[in-house]
Amino acid sequence: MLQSFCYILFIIYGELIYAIGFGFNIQNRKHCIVNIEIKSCKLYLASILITLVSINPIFAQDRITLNGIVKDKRSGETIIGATVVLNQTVNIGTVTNEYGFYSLTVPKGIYKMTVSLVGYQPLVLTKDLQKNEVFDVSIGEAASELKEITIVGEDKQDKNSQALPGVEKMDMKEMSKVPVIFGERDLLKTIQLLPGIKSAGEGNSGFYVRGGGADQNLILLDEAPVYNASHLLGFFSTFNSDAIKDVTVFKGNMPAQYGGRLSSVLDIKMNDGNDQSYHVSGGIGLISSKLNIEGPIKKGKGSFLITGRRTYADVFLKLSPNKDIRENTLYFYDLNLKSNYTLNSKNRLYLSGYFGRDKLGFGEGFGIDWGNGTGTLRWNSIISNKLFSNTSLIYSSYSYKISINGATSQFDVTSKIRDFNLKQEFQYYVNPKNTVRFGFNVIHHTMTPGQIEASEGSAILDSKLQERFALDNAVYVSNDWQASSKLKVNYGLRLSSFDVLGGNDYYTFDAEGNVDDTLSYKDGSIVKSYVYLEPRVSMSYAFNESSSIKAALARNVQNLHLISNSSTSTPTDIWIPSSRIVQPEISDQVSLGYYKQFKDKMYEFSAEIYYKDMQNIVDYKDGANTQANDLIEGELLFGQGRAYGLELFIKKKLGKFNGWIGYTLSRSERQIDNINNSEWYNARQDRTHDVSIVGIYDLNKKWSFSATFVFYTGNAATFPSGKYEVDGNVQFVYTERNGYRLPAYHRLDLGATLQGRKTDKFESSWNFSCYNAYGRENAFSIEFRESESDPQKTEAVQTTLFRWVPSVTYNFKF
Amino acid sequence: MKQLYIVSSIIIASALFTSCEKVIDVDLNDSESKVVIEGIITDEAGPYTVKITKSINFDQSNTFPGVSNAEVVINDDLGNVDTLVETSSGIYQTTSLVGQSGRTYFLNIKNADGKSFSSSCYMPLKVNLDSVRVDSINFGGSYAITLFPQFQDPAGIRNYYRFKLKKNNDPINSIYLQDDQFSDGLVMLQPLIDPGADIEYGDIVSVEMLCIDKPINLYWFSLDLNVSQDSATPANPVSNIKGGALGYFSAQTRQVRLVEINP
Repeated sequence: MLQSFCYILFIIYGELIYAIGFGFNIQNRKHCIVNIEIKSCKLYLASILITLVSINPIFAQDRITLNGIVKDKRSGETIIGATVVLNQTVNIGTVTNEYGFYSLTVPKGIYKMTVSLVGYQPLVLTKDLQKNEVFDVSIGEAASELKEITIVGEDKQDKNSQALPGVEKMDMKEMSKVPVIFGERDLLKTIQLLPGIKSAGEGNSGFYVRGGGADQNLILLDEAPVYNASHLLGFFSTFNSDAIKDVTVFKGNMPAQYGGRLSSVLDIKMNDGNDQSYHVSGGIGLISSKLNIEGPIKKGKGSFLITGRRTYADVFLKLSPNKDIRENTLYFYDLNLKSNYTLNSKNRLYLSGYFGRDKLGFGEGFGIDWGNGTGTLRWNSIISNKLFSNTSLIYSSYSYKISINGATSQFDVTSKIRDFNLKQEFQYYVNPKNTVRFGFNVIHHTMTPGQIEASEGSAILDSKLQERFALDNAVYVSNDWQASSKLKVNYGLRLSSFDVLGGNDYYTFDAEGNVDDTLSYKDGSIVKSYVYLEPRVSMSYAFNESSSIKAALARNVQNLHLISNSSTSTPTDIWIPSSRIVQPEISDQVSLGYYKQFKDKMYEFSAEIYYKDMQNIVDYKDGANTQANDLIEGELLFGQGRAYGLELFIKKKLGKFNGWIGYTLSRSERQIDNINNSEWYNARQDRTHDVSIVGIYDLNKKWSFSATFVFYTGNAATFPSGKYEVDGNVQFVYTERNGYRLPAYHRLDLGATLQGRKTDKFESSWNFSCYNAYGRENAFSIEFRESESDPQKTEAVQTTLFRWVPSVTYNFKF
Repeated sequence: MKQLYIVSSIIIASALFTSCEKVIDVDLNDSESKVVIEGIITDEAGPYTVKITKSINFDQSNTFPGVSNAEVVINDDLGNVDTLVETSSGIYQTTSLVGQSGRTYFLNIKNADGKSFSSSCYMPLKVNLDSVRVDSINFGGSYAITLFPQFQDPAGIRNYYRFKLKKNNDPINSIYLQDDQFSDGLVMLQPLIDPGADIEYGDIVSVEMLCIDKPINLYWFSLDLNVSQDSATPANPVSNIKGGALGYFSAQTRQVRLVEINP
């Protein structure tokens, strides 16, 4: 039904059809090159397209196109999401894309042109447009006193009331004021303060979006998937905020260009680097320090950026009087690199990379290190004044290595997931009312779940678990349609095809989970293909300037599944692909929202409800062995899930005192045969209430203060309901899955920023924070054991990780 | 391997961060009392024991009532049948059965708290424990004296081993499991890791080596997932007893070495 709805949408709009036809022509040619398996769905789509393409759009002759790039005047960074408006009698507007590009097609004439963005001095000028024109624009940041006026004076076509539902943007400047643990600004921790996005708990940088699991979030850094976004056993995220330009979260209803995960997309874009002048900035904290260097390769043409960060907890270990503690290692580092170069007015290249690694070791005997590496090479090309193209070649990997250097055995255990990814996207600015995106994506995955390499004479053999290969393809088309001044719709369709490739053995299992049969597949042969159509529609309808309603529906398909049967995320969790046994996970989400601004846009309020239905959700059999197990698929169970909730959000955007309150009321449940007597049970991340309050107060130019408060219902947990004795020890009886809850979690964090002297050449600031200011003992875990005072009794023991974590950071920039 | 990782992360977390523990009140549901069966046959001389008890509520004292007057029968694949005799409440003993490796044993219980249960278990071939090495392992700055049982794993078949330790006659509660997934046919020499065991010089440690069948390995593995409380979803261990009882029925070979811990 969803799919036919989408088709109907395609049919009703004439001009778009032209674009789809165009898109798929190109697509088909590329299709030959990359050999995408689309199968019968392709025919289905194609037949519709053929019918549709025959309808010709009408193009007015006296129209011209204005296009260009919007940049920051001071740094030369391209600006994402700036509003470009041409006004004659009515406003005709667009927003810049992720590379700062805009294109507007309008009738010839004299226009008032406005380029604006929150925090920037708007640029207003008169343009006489008689023929097609390329016009690049630089806008400057508003002086801080002017910022509020700028926002109030923002153009009438308010972005917020037009924004699509389920999308959250994080302002990097605002983020820098929110207190966090260890004083290390962390975008993953800060987005968890927004409604619908929930922390996976302390010591865990995972997060849950709308009742989905932590592995159902697609985290993209400059388009490259990041498979494990946590450092230091989850206390930090892998993203160094200094290198980040833009963060957008899509809570389930992502546009068609994204795919591959059920719950959300976290799209993170790195800074390009200042192409005007050289700058060095950095921060020195108690736990870590960082340094950022950027500057022009050739002024105005190209730039580079290098950002590094390292923790030095291990330096403190070195101070220990105990020699053996001194020999331990514990640190992580990250390196973000980016450079770009403008080849000519139409072509620009970007090269960006990330490399991060954690190392943990005990003397000589035991060590583990893990980390991600990504690389993205992009080519922006302005093919015509209406057609923007981006081609990306992406590499992405995550690996870990455990080294054991024992008295009797020396061996390494390694595991890796590695992707090669080709992405081609076109953005076609049909007219100011329609912007069409279309493209394809081909990813080749190699998953090496585990490999042991032993030194000679070790009491262990070299061995390797079955490697897995897969080809993950998608073609998509979507349209941003400004149907009227009040109605905006983004609709699209994604066709995904996942091919499980041979080259190794696959197993089938009997009901008991024992191997039934072993099937060998030749290298390059296709073991199994899964093809799905994923329709995505979201829309917003503005009643007036300040209020609107929004609605969205989306289907997502996930073909990579994280295997982790422990209560916290660990670096040794592994990803497995869909296979003959593991089916793709599917979610269908509908959401409905209301949005309002009031008091001269001083406040904004939003309410959203959602319902999500999930299929083929993965869970584990009782006693599943998820570590180093070649027969892992025999340990899995599959079932369905449902999640629904209400998200409320109120934000004071302006004034010396600003901040927000977010509240989520939600449920997330699973039903899997043979778990909990096959009855519905609460997902671990089911949280009835979740509140976050953020307040920021700018006292004067020197001091600003901030506080956050979070409260949430404890995670669902499985506790014993009785006990018995075997082998001389007391063991527990479990009767239901996730039938209990951890105690409610709450915490207050305080922060203060002291701005130092600020000149054109140098600025600095001190940041003070205290995490868990009132020392709440939150439950990290609850354990049941024999009572120390009375061995005849059994008691519950709660472990708390953090109480009062103060920190100081010094930041500088010159 | 996993254990090693968990142990290390706990040590690091507790060394670096201000973690603390406290006893809390948790309102736990009462559960229906379940039958618990623990039956063991070894290759040593009998009699062998089947213990039938019942589970109790969490807040009760650790006295587990025996289940009396059940009919307990064990037979083997040679046709020997042994009807067990209740020697004390819930304790049933064989009268004539001789445990032998390579044989399969069948347990049938009737009228245990009104219910019937059955199970079977294969007693694997005995692998000789050659020696036990002692070494100390560094766990984040503190050394733990650790034992390494040494034995020749037979090639070509999957073997599962369980070890039980007693320090000066006090049992150490860790569940030590080894298998030959990554060391088939090699001389096995893997550590029995438990930094909490606190073995010191001068201690006498008894090392009990059991060769166990695959379902029994799964039982202890899944029980250990709960004991180490790392599992996101603790559950009752996977039992080889049919009929809904807790516990296990294991036919296993057994050998014991006494090790004096010397510097």
